[in-house]
Amino acid sequence: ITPIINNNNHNNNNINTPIKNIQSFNFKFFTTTTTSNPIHQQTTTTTTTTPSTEQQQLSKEAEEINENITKYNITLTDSCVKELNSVQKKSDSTDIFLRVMVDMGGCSGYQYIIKVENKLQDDDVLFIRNGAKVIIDKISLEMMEGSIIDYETALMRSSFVVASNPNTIKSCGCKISFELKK
Amino acid sequence: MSISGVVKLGKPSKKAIFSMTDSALKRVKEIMNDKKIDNCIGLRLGIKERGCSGMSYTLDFATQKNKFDETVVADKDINIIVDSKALLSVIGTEMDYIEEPIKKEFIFINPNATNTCGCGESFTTKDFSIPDLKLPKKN
Repeated sequence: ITPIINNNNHNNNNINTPIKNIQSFNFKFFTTTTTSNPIHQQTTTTTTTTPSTEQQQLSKEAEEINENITKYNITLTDSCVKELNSVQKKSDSTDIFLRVMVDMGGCSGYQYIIKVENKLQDDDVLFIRNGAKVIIDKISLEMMEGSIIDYETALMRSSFVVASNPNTIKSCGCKISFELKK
Repeated sequence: MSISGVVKLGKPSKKAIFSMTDSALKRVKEIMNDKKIDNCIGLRLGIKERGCSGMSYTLDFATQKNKFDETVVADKDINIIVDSKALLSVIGTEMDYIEEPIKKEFIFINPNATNTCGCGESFTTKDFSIPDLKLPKKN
């Protein structure tokens, strides 16, 4: 009560009209209590975080991957994506999938089979990065988690390969056949 | 690790030490046109003893011709230099180039290959040290 009285006196000293004086006092008091701002004259405005939103959109456009890529830690390299999109353009089918599967055989016990298909089977897991689609069946995926799928280019051959697979011990020269860790 | 060429079994060629199909020749021309190596005089066809069936072909840019190397002139300005160590197993071989959605690669129809591994990259050949076996004559 005492501060209010003091303020009132202060206002009386400065302004002549009593009625306006009272109204002005009420207004100021209301403003003070609602904003909890000790300095009456100063006002602050907040700006929206537009730059971060734009950056977020840019990074989203640059790298479009589906959830399975991160879930199973499968990497599709840039050259793999580029070549697969190239195969897609040359093809008549609307959908092109690169099938990668593990089979018995080869000189090291197991081997990869890589081919192009246009159908998705029930037990396939789909990996998408920037429009490139790779499918691995669930059984093969158990032996391929963490793998890198690449398109290798060299004088002798250019081909899709499983460039690295942490579940394997070794592979033969062309990286088709491999031996599993136990 | 370098990539080796796939070998397939085939009939011997009576004419040439080494021959190429049209698609292989076309691809080699593309490679030579794109070449970025100075002093490149052709492609070197070599061999290395590795892989699960014993031997594998290699293909590299050649900058020099060694003493016992053999040069096959596939076309004007297109030279295939056959490494001296690879000569015996290359005799009669035809080089092809195939393109598929999955891969594009050179393959070798090798009449001397008696066995290849599953992917065809590694192969074994006849034993030329057998005394009564006649070696093919050079052209």
